[in-house]
Amino acid sequence: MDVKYINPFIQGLLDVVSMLGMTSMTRTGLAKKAYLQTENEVNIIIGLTGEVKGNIVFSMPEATAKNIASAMMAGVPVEKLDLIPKSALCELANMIAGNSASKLEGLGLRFNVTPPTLITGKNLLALISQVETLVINFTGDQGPLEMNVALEM
Amino acid sequence: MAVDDSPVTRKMLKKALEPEGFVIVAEAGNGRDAVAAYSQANPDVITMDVTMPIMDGLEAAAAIKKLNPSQKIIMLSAMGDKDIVAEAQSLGISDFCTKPFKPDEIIGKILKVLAEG
Amino acid sequence: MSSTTYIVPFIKAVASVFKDMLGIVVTRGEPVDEGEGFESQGFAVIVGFTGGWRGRFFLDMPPATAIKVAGILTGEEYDSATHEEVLLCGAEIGNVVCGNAITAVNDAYPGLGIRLTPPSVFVGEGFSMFNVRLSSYSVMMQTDAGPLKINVAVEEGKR
Repeated sequence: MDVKYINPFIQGLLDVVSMLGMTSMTRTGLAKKAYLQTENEVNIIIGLTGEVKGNIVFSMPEATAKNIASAMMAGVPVEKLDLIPKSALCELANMIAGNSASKLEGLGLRFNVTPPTLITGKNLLALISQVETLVINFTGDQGPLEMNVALEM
Repeated sequence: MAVDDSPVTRKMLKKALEPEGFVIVAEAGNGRDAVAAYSQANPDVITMDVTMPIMDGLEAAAAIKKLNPSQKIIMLSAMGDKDIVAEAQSLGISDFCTKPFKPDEIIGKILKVLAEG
Repeated sequence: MSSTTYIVPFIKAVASVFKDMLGIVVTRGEPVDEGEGFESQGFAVIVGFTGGWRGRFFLDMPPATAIKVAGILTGEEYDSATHEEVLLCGAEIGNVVCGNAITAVNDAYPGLGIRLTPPSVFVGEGFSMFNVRLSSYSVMMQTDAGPLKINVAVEEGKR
């Protein structure tokens, strides 16, 4: 996977969270994995089809999820991840995918995005692609978060 | 030669074909590797999956047909909609098989294609 | 389109793929409106789709069923559903079921042009799925290898 195709996703995430007021978010790492094995309780999956085909899973601990949802809802504290915070997190994933898509269109690549699905649970093992998964780590005031990108290109 | 991005499918093809006396001379997980392995492998027939990363089956089939117009290729796919089948036919593919394939079905198609000479 | 329109092609595809690929007979239940989400039985294969229909398909089963199914495909025995080949078998079945279902739909409604994402597989205990603003229908199906739940969550109204 060419680095120039990953950057739009990294930048997409940073641009979107920044626009939502979460300006402290930075990228802290990049690694490759065969599977996504996560202790993170909150995972949001978005699929891509078209010239770029694959899956992206945003993965974070419950605490980060609550903090991000809260930031998206004008700072209202989030005690429990119920319907409204979950919708907010799905919306975030959607925005990041959309933002990354526009950047990739600039590189001449077009793709379509599925609606997001949020998966909550403990000790999940996920195979999100039959090609390797790129794990991009971010952290900010809200806590750590991972973007797992598995694209066939 | 068996070309499919799913190792499970390649294993299933082996399971179906080896007992019948076929030898899988080469395997590839995407179109690009298939084209690269092609000349060395010199297969009698290629089973080629359509949806694969890096280079899909239709593109790889076109490339291989350019190298050798008489190469026999059977396209394999879970997606068998009319557009895909039509495109495969326009490339001069020998046959199309949808997944799931029954062992008899794929063996029958391979034998038929080989007999066509 | 009626709300159960979306799930019917997948019910048919599961029944025929399980029979052809695995020799397993599937008896089908009735579609149930799932609301926003459901809890997994422990092993979930997920495939997304875009184009004329936008949404996601879930094939959900207990880990023991996944192990049995993988065993039929490869002829091997597995002690855990987290084994790589069990995950890959799950992915392959999800792929083939959706490929078949969507092919039938694309052929029946020319111009829909539905395309699939690669499958993903999630394994764990007590995890649940939430689909925001999607109409979600489930069908519980019974097989000799164990129970299967299929769920189709689609975005209504858009084309």
